[in-house]
Amino acid sequence: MGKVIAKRFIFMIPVVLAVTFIIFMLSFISAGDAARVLAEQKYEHPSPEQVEEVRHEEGLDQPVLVQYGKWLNQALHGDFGKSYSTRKPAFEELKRYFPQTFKLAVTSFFLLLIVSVPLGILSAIYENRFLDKAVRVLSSLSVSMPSFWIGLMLLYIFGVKLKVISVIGGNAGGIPILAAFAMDISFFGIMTRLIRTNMIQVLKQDYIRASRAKGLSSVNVILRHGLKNILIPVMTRLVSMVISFFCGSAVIESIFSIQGIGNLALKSVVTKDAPVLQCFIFILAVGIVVLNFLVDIAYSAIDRRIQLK
Amino acid sequence: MGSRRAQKTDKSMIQNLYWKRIFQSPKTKIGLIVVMIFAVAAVFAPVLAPHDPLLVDVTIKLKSPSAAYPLGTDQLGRCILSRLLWGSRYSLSYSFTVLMITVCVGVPIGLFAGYVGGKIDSVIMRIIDVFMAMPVFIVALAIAGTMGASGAHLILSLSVVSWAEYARLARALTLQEKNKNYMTALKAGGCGHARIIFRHILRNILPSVIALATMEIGSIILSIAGFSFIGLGVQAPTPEWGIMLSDSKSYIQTYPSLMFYPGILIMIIVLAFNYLGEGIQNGTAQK
Repeated sequence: MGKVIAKRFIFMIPVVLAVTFIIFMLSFISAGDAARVLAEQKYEHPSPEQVEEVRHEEGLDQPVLVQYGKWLNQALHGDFGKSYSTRKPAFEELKRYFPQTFKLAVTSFFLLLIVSVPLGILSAIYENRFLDKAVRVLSSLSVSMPSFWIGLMLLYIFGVKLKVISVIGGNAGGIPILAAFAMDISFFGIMTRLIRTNMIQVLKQDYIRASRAKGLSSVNVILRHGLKNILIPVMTRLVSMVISFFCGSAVIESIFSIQGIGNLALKSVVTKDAPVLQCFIFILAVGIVVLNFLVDIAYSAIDRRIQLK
Repeated sequence: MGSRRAQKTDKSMIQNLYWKRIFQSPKTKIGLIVVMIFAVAAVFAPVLAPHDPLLVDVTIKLKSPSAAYPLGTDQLGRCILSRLLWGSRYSLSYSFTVLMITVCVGVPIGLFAGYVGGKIDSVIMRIIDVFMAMPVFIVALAIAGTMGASGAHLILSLSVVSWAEYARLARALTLQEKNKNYMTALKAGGCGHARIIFRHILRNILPSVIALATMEIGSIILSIAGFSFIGLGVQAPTPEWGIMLSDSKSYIQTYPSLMFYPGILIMIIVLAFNYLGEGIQNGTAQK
């Protein structure tokens, strides 16, 4: 087991290297000249000599691989350079915006489970009855709804019509719940369907019939045996959803004016703030690789039949 | 000669049955009809639209629906109906472009990896894994942040990520085909690689690829609108649904009807494609 984990861990390294190199190269071949952007902040109207001076100062005139090595080394130490717009360390900026995104992600996570798990289970129990059909129609609709449109509609209904939240947004009052609802909208459908399909299969198994015959109550059968056996497919999907709570938060954050990392990333695209952008992409990319690694290990811990390759 | 003809009718009969099963499902029918309506709107937008979608006339801004402007005008006095009609053009053409690129890149790579096998296969699989782990938003952000935000760059970002899914599917299906008995027969009969790949494997895996592609169009349409909404995709003043929604945000208190139409249209077209995809998938699944 330890050996397999080590092997998995070593496999992560080339992936991280590849991803970071792509990130770095993309900014390197970018249309915008970083030296010019920096020089324009230092001097009002920089002369070509001043631009070159800044280029040399920031080490932007060295070979690509040298710059990449330097950048990666600093990145691994949490140093992504200073934000072009605020002149504060990029990593600090990201840290400042992170709590809002984290709050939104946690809310979305629990809201998703609270809605999808009961609906999926009920739908499986009452297969092809009215409740199941209604849930299936609702999940088809939810998968097709644009989250940003739902966000706007919620803002309109609760902010303009009912006046229970501020139209300007923020991350207080009922807004986190509404934002999480918009964020989850397509996941509700996907998750409910996934739980329903797997649950239907599990409920048809012999051991379920056996535990019923043994005299276990239906609730007990479903919670004890049913849920445990659909854990793996549900977890796989849930992980990819958690990833998109962090990577896809920009849309929802921009609607509800939540000051999270997604909003920061969008802002840095507009202001061509490369250090912040690189820091954002780096942290998320590495985070995803590490998360997938942990999930692989967790799988084999839950289900011994799954062999780590 | 006679037997050859018999064989041919046999084959086409099977294919007819196969398509019949797909088209008999009500989901396919509903999906197809709605998609056709949108396609007609997209193709004939210049004829159908009552006004120029880009024509700004601030003297008639934010007007309620009237005979001349069936759905009213937006904040710059542009005809909303015309903009919506032209919007279907952008949505459909952009998503089909992404689909074409990803299928044309992904399927050959996956097929090759599966067919050749061995070390080459595992190297390609690793590369596919890397791309599968990359969220579209990160790629779109990196590309828009460095090369600027535009419709073409958005197509690029979406394609960069989604080809891997087709490669994985094509590889898995090719591996399945490779282990079937007819493959041995073909090889024993002296059939060349090119013929095996194009005449047999590609033909057998294509239905599943088409099913996946139809299921994916909906989410591509959502991505294009979503990225344009946050400014990482198509740029204003293009009459694109995501941009129309993003423009409408400032008028949420004063003129909320601006944001109803684009959202509803996106939902309907995505729903239609999802139904169509489900219909095709159900048809291909019960072989």
